[in-house]
Amino acid sequence: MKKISLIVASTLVMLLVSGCSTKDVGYDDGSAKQESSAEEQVQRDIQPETSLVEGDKVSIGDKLAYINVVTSNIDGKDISLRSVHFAFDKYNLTDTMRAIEKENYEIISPLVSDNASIKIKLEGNCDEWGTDEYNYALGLKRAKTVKDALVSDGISADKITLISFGESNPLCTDKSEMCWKKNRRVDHKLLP
Amino acid sequence: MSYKKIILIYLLMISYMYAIDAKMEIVNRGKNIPTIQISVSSESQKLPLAQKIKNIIKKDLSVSGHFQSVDKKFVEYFNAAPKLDKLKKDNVDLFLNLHIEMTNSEDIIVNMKLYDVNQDEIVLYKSYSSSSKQKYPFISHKISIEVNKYLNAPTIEWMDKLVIFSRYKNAKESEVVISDYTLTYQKVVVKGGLNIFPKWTNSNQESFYYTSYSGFKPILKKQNLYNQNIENIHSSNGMIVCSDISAKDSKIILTMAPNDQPDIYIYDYKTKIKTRLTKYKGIDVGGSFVEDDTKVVFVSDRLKYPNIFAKTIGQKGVERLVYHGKNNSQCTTFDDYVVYSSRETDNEFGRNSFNLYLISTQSDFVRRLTTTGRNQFPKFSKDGDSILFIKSYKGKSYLGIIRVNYNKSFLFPLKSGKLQSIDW
Repeated sequence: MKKISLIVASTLVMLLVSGCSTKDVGYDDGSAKQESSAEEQVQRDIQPETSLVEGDKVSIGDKLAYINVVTSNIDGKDISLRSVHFAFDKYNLTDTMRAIEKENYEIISPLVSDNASIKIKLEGNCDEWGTDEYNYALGLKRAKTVKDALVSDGISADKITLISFGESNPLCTDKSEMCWKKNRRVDHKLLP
Repeated sequence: MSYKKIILIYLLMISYMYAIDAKMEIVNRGKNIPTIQISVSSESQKLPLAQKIKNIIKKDLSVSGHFQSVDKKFVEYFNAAPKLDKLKKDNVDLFLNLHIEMTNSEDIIVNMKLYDVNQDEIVLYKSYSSSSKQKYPFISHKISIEVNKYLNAPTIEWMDKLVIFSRYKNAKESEVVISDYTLTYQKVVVKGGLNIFPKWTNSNQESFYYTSYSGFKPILKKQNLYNQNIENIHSSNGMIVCSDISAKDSKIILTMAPNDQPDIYIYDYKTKIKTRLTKYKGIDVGGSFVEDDTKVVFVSDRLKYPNIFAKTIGQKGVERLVYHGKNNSQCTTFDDYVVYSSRETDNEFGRNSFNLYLISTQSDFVRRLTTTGRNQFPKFSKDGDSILFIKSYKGKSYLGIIRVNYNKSFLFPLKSGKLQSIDW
């Protein structure tokens, strides 16, 4: 339970620093409050962040935060990296997302140092808006932004490959702002 | 002067108006359009396909804009002389009688007779057959084309062409499908994994390009429809899309990112040499040849939002083409004309309708072609007379046809999945 509190507290600090939700969902409107009892159940069941699976939700006070995590298996170990999310039609990293990418770097860096064959695959994704060819390019630019951040932190550029899935790989298919936010992301995969 | 001559002169006038300027006037032609009665013969009444064939022809002739279909209770035996006086009293100009034969479970023969009611004579008698009854939509379109030819009206031969599209099935999964333009006939030609942006290699429609995600990198493939040969054309990090093909088939415009940067390239299919056309650090996509393949119109975010630009091949400057809208992210060209898709709001919280607009590179005229829903992925027909597009409305995907000179548009629903891209 202490671990959960730590996760919640640290995420809350990030929210305060950025002035807005760091994760996919950050609404303190009525709909979020109505879901609070269900969220309490999720909170009781939640495990430490490193073992979060895609789509888990964490309750932060009366706010909700969406965390998308992609897990890769490297040398028999599950390595989970958080997806980075983007604003509508944008491919720049906010300070909050840059901080998340820094956390990803801290996980990736020692793995790459220990195992020269590991590659990092960054998959850019978009929401359903925009016409499709432009969306594929937008997804690619998002992946490129994340690559630039990792390279800036010290990962060698030749360790990283990019691919864009445009709108073809949604996490969520509802017609809602929350859903579109979830889909505007870059996923990290480690290839042995 | 016969009604046929009046229609011919009128249609030629429309064609001329379109040829000189996009600012054409749409006038009410109601009284000038010949009326046609389409019937299934007495012998074929009980065949389920008969009514479907009749309905497709009826729709075709409506889409053509050259006919007004009437629906009288008028059923005649195929080989008997029809009572044309009855139709003449109702001011019907043409009578099309259809006779369908099903020789076994798959073979189909459709016989047609076209009567000119005013002249009281049969003017066309033709027979069409196929070894696959599933292809009845194409037989229907062929009959429509023949009837249209009798009028000497502007051609509607595009109706008989195949449409190729990709439809999303699930996450990272889409299939390439060929169909007729009404989506009635459909056949999957590529499936398994993500297969997107199919495009015919030329007007023969024997082969098509598409992007496959089957390998480590996206690959542009070329597939022959008839012998199933598949050729790997090029691959790229990040993305690769075939956006357009030159008039002589030898050069293709690619959007790809060999250095992680989406830019437009011209790839010579014969020499295998690629030339980078744009070098902007942001997004450049969706190139399309214009002005005899000397210039490329494309989408770029160099103004911090997607808009339509043009670049003359071999020169450095980039010209902004569209001064309307805040999010114009797709375009198609025909001669000096450009149709682009424009999002009417610049965030995800508004109604987010997308509309299609027609402009000419030779003038500053803008004409809106659609009014509701999300209208995207416009594609001019080879004759420039029609525009194919994808419409999303209330969660459903539709293939749309705009008949540019006739101020008409038609929608055909996709029964399942979501349209990703189209070509014809």
